[in-house]
Amino acid sequence: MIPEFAILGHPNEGKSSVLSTLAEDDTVQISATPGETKECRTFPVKIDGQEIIRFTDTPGFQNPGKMLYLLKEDDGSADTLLERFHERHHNDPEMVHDCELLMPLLRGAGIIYVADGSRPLRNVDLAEMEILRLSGKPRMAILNCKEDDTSYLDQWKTEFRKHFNSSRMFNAHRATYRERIRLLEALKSIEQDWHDTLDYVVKTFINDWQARNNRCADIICAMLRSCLRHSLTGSTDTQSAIAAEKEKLYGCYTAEIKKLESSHHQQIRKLFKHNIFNYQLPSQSIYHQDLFSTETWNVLGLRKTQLAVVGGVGGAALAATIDIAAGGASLGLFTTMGGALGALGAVYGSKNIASKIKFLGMSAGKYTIQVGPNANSQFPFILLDRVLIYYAHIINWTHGRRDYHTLSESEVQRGYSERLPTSSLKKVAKYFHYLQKDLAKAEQHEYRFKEELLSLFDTLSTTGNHEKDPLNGKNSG
Amino acid sequence: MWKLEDILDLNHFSQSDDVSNDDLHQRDREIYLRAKKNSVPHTTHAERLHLWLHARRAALQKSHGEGMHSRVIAKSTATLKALLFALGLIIGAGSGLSYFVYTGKTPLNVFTFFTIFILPQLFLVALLLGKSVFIKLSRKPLSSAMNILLPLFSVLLTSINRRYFKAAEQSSRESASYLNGLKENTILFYPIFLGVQLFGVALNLGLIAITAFKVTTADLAFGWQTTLQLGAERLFSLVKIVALPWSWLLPSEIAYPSLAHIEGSRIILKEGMFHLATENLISWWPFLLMSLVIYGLLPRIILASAAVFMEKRARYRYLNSTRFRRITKQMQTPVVTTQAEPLELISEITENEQIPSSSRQEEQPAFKNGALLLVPVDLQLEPDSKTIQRYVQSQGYIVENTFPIFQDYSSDQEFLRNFNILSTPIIVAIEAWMAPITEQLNFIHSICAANKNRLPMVILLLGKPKSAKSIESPHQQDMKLWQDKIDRQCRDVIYLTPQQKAE
Ligand SMILES: Nc1nc2c(ncn2[C@@H]2O[C@H](COP(=O)(O)OP(=O)(O)OP(=O)(O)O)[C@@H](O)[C@H]2O)c(=O)[nH]1
Ligand SMILES: [Mg+2]
Repeated sequence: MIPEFAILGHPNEGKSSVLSTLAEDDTVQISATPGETKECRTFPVKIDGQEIIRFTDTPGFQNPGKMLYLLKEDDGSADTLLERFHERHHNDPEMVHDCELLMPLLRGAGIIYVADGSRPLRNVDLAEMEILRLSGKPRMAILNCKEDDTSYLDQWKTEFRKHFNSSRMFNAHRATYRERIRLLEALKSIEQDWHDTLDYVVKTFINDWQARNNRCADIICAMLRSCLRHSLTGSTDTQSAIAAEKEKLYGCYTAEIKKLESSHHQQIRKLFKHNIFNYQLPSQSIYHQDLFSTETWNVLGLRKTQLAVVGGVGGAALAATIDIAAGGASLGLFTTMGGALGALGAVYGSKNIASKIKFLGMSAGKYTIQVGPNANSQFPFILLDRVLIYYAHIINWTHGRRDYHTLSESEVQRGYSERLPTSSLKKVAKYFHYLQKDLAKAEQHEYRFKEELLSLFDTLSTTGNHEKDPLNGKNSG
Repeated sequence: MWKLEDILDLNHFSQSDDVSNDDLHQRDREIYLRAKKNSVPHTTHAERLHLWLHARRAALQKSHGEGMHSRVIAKSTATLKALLFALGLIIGAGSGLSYFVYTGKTPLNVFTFFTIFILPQLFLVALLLGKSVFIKLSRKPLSSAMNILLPLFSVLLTSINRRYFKAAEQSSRESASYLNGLKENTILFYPIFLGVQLFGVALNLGLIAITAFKVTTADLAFGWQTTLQLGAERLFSLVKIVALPWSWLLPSEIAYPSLAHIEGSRIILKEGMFHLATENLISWWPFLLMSLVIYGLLPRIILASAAVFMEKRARYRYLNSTRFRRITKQMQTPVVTTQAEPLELISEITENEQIPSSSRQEEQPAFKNGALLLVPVDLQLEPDSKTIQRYVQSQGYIVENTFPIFQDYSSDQEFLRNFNILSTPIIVAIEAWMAPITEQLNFIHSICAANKNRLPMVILLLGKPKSAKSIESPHQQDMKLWQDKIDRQCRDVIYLTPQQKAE
């Protein structure tokens, strides 16, 4: 039989939120209005398509006092207590929710009881706990504190000790990947028979998380590769049009880079299973600054001293990379050829031979302007910082959290790359250098860069939550 | 063993995959699990990659029903090599034949033999070595060379395709896309390089064969002549140096001509060739043959084997690059899903049916005589019932009695049973910050239903307590929620909420 865990509790305590976070499923309906969940919903944990365990979301208790009274009144066999209760009351319209929430227990599910630990304990809560105790199922309790008030925690914990095999804090809005794992670990202890299965699940989850981080690193490499090598060429016939053409190309180039960047960010979002949450990073975040704005370039990327270590140049976002080919003195050869071909064309009566013939990608007889690839050594660091900010938000935004617009905590004021230790910085810079110069070499150095990325990811996901600046560890709120 | 078409296909397939696609993980994982189930070898990186390649090919064949493009490329590469080899043989033999057209009037000049057949070859080899050293030193990427080589290569390939494999419909653009991404790689360089070396090997073989053939079937005379002041002795020492690579192996009379032979084979124009002894004239050929073998054939054989070795190494490196490691890693990573089945769209049944507009008489308390105050048992400490009572009284109500409710089901039921006979007005304190649950609403509804005398009823909605000595007002939406639920069954309820204290 597949081990099942039912999430039970008072209405509006965050049962669905906890499950949404635990199962990384943001399609779960969550609402500030109690009684949102009316029917049980099952969340199968499938490994290679095979269901290993499942979690079930349930409606909240509507008649805990009455239920407890009825259960206590029943003096039949304790083994079938719930069955009898369900049998008797499932047609009672008042008790629909209470009967519905018993369904998983009738199937033999274990219990995860969810309560808001930031509020005082009430009589109804005690009734609910007592009902669960009477059910005789393996059970643990979770405190999901909706607010910051900690003065009631002891009260709750004392009661939990009486009624449950184990209890934990688990915040639906802030739980990191590690806390999810710890919750599953804790579940092991409530029923010995499920220990091995849960153990397998935990191992697979850890493995899966690493694999996702790995793929995320691959996505970042792909992003850097495509952004750093991106270039655009355009051409004009007259020298006077060069400035305008340059302007136009520059506009296209920056737009395309932004598109490339954002499409890779979206891939990361998908990787971490966010469908609704869409880079709603705090609006004052540096992330919302334009990629090519001076502000971004002042705040993110490397400091001057670091740039010296890397041996690169900083400066304007893209200034040095506009390259005018053909027509220039350095490429006199092609103009001559263009002229010769033009003359030939005149002889043979076809006007356009010259401009139609391409020589090594350059139209002869025209001014070819190329924008990019961006050779600025600061550029990849800006991209890196931005994607790390994005990553940190994505992985620390729980799936149960839906107050997208309310997010207002101030966030990292500077990027991560300026905090890289010199040894890592050198490795990263080397990779970037090769990306800009020699792809084959870059591919050889990719794994070193990925190692750095993975350890950065690790730092970003240990501390987690939005109130803390992960790398500083200090409150920036 | 990896073949060229395997490499090309692996490159093609891996390029067309999108790293972020979850379904691809599923696909790769299934390939692995299927192999595991059928106990096909799947334990090493190479084995897994083979599995993957095989499955991808099978899937492509199923969907397109055609052979792989890479097979054609690989076959044409092989043909190209064969052609180059044949061409080498023909050219070698042809040039040998034309050289050995021996009229019998003057002996063949050893120097011309050397300048035509040996020195250029040595020069080319030296150039090649020099260039690769230069590339190594200048750290120039290979891509610049490949930029020129690859288009040539693919054009060549397609033309071969057309002619020999009748695959004309496969355009050169298509084959170019197949080679995409290999530009920066040495993998494609070595087959071309090997082809060139094979040409060199064949050329020398042809030449050697013709020389050997001529030596055996015709009587060839070799001599030497020069305008330079080069004595026989100098030449002899030169010959000895040239013959160093093999002179230790062969008896010296075969390895190189002796000083006497050399002196005897000097051609002096004005003297003609009558004075030349046959013995001296034929003493040259083993030396020339050996020079061809050692200076022509051997370097090419070495280079060809180096190409084979380097190609293998390049392939090995390529297959062990992060890209393919990622694939096999993915095959070993279980696919985990934790999401629920998508919800079928249930048409939202709105609970907010039109509530009968109860005329709320909040302004003026309708009674002044003593009321019964019902306080949830939870509110014994924070805020205590005294505080609540004081507040109610401050609002102009007289509380005659307080009674705890929500202790448990049976005591509430008992209260309701007794309530029927009561005739006092009722004030119920409710913790409106908690979710309204059926059993509490039912309790209030029961009071309403039992209130046959239509005595005024006040409901005090309280917010989350902060301390024992104060009461809080509930949030607006919580208040509304309770009012809506209560009004569904009760009429003429007076709601009382503590005012928000001015901040
Ligand atoms: N601040 C905060 N709010 C939370 C937290 N968990 C849940 N909430 C909020 O609490 C409300 C109820 O959450 P749900 O997950 O729908 O609660 P539920 O227990 O499933 O409720 P029902 O299905 O109605 O029984 C929502 O508005 C959530 O946003 C939390 O950890 N912190
Ligand atoms: Mg719910």
